[in-house]
Amino acid sequence: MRRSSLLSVSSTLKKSLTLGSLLLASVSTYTNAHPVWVLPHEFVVSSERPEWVTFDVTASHTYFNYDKGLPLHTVSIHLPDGDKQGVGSYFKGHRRSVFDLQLTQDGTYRIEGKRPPYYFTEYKAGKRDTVKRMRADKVTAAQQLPKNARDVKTYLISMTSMTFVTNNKPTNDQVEPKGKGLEIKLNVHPNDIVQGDEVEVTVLMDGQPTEGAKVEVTPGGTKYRDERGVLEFKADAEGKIRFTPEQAGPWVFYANHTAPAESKLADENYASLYMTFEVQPE
Amino acid sequence: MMLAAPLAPASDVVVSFSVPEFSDGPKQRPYVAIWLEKRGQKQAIRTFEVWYEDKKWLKDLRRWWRKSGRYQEDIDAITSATKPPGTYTHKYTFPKELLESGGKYALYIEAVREHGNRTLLKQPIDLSNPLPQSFELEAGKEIGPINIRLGD
Repeated sequence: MRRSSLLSVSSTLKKSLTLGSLLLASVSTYTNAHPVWVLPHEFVVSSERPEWVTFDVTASHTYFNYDKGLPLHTVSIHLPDGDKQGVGSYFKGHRRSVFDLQLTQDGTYRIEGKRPPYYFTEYKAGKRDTVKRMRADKVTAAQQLPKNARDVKTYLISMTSMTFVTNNKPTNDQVEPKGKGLEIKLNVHPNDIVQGDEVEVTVLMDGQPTEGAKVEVTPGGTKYRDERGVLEFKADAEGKIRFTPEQAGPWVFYANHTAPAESKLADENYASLYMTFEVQPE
Repeated sequence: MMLAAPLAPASDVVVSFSVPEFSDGPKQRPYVAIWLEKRGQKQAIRTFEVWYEDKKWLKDLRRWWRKSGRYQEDIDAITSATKPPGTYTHKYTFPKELLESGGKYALYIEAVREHGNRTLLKQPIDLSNPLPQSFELEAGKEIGPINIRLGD
């Protein structure tokens, strides 16, 4: 029974694969999250004329191997001067999506895929306590739940996946937290992370440090080693975690945060954030 | 009238280095940078030398680009063209106020070559020690050996 229920979830995923639907699974204790990451071919660019950077977007546990292509209409490019644009034309393949961006400005770009928050209800039903899921807020779910539904929990889910690229001199406008949703603040510019140097990250929710937020930091190349190599943390009382990357190359930072929802429509707010970043050699 | 006051030490740093012959593959010339840092400071204090052809690849001098290159308003003022294998001896003006500071600095030499390798060499310089000072650095794959003479 449980197996067939998982299969039905996975076939739903196949039908409508979006940044949001991939996240459905991450709430459940029975399945794993599908990390969504954006990987530029260069994080640091020096240029006299506008240079092109190409980006791969996929949902995959394996860093950095592709698994599932995604629609990119929710991806936005935040330019150094504060402007914002979409990705324009892109390729969506079975395993990854690809777009190119010409860096016409000096400074730091933020590339961000943001899923608008949505409601999701989980409950148990049947003799075997099968976990079932429903794309509905708490009020709507209450009208649709079977009579024997137990352990009903509704989440308001939001997810962001981002990366930063710097052309010539770095700038901070697109790096500074805006005080809204789940964000991070680093003790260094995200394009200045260097092998052997300690990185301190403050996890923020609506601008406030979040004690207890879960953080995972993973170096690329997971496919080619036995140990996944993930560094796991709980944010301290100041919302901080610290790590010293020993391996140069691209990494994935992940944080999630749950908090009771002050709403009739959900029990918990569940926010997650992915950031792809590069650790430079010394 | 006082006779011969002791001469102030010359505020020069003389750097001799070799660019090796490349036996392997295409013979691209290396991009090279020589610069001065103070420990713990985000930006380099001074860039002495940069050899390059196309700014597109300057970022591959990774440390120099991070510490200095990307902040330069006028890249042409501090750079010159790449050069063939050979031995080079260049004299640079060491910032005089640093010479008298007694502080701790580091001279870096970075070289990177397309189809080749990256070499990053570092020489700590402690100016609480008397001048002149001289140092030898073992060669990396893309540059060296290096001889540094300060205040000679």
